[in-house]
Amino acid sequence: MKKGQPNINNEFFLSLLEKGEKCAFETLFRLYYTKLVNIAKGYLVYHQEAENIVQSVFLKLWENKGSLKEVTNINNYLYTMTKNSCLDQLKHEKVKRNYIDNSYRIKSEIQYKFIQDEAASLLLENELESKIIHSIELLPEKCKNIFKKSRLEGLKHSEIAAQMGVSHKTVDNHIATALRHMRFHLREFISIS
Amino acid sequence: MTMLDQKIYKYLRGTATSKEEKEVQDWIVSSDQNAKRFFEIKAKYVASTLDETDVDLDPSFQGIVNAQKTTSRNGRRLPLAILKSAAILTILVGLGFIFRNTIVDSRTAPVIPGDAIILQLENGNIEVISEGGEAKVVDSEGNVLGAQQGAQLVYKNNGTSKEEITYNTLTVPYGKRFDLLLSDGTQITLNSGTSLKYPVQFLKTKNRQVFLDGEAFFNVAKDSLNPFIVNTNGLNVRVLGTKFNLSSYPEDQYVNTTLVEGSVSVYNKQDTFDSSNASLLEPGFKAEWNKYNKQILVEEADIAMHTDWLNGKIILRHVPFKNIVKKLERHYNVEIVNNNPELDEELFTASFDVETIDQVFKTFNLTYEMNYKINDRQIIIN
Repeated sequence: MKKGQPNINNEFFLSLLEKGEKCAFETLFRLYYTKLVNIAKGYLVYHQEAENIVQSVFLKLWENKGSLKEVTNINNYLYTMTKNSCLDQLKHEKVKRNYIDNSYRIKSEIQYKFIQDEAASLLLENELESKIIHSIELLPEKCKNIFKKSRLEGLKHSEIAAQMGVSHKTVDNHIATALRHMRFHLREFISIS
Repeated sequence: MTMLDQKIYKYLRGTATSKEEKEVQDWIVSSDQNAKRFFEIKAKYVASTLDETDVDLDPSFQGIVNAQKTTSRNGRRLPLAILKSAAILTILVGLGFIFRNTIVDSRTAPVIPGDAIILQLENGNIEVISEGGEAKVVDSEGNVLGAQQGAQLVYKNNGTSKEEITYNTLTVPYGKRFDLLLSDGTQITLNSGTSLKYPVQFLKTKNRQVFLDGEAFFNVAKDSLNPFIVNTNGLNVRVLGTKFNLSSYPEDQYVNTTLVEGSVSVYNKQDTFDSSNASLLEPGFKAEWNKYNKQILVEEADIAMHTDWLNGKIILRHVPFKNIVKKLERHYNVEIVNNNPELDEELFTASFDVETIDQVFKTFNLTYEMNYKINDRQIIIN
């Protein structure tokens, strides 16, 4: 792992997930949830399904945590899962709605083609990745290092404390700050980005 | 931005009228090339909204954690949140008809006239607001959320702690203006040719957020815990409680924020808000944001010139003709075709209120002799 550059595509998240580390799961959730919901809204006809779909994606991620061996890129994995679930939802709705709702038909046709448009997919997936990297980069420096060591490299708090020559308590505090910051930051994105 | 781009943009933001929606859809499906172009615009638009949210991460995360523990009878795990919303959805579908029927005010014909003030509800239904009418906004449970009082739509704060934000969109056509009082006490006047999407009720824990296409004057109710944010054409304006004018028509190159009282921050939509990347305005100043290079220019402003539309006036001080055209079109609901490019750069100083469009052109003619013809709603300059 390159210093100072969080590599979110690597096996860190995955290996942590395989070990059943809840913190890796929560971190991924906090980083990705809002963004995936917005992508899902872009793919669906009915926005209100977006949150359910993304919650299911995260549930599947957690349930499949033992078999993530083939996955090399967590960003691609989450994006693709979201997209496929949206496609399933569109198919499912199509059967139900097509007969009764005229205005639905044309919207659904357009969304069908949009979800299968490769150029659009690529653009969205790349944008998602760069936003995630940006989110991690926005953490305060020291906090970020500790956070990365803990959440991305999977070091124990005591190991980080030893490596960085700070107290165990300091590490705890920084991790708490990082999580708070992410919560705040991700929430602040709401209106602010 | 072409007319079409504007419509696509409104379509994507959900502020298009049903007529515009239909136009955009027809255009998309008419050729593969059009579809491709639309998909590209849409992908970029979705990319730009990735971080917009009205969801709370903590309860959503808790929902998943709970779902991991919940095992349904047949052994399959189902997210609790999904079960809950499925139940709510079922109820909502059931209430759909009642909702549709109770909400109707004095709706007469199903055809929406082009010059009507339109209220679009969360469920996509469209209501026509007639001036002097008595429209009511009612939710699915029959609670009255808002009512029309003359030329104003007033939303009540009914104090319920709803978990989800629902939006209404008010669209004011050319030649008209309309007032809105939001449930938090914020007063907004919408200028001609403007759409505003706003929450019917604000959540206590959330920023207050509205979406503007066009021009409006805001008198924001003070709430230091919940900033009020106007999202508009790539720019965000963030305030706590203040009076300001925001002009952001999709067809204009600049978004102008003019501050009358208090303080506001203006920043690119792509940026995260912090005091270093936002421009803070003082009263009497305006922030002019250039859509193309995304630069913000702060300068002293002629407040009257930016706000006199509230009194039905148009004030022009050394304004090039090309910038006046759209203003007149919106104010008088006319179409102006200018075939004289030289005239575009000509500067005009004038002030109008009760004048007819005919008189306006006569006045212009005193400064710059132009060859124009008025045919009903169309003015042709050669």
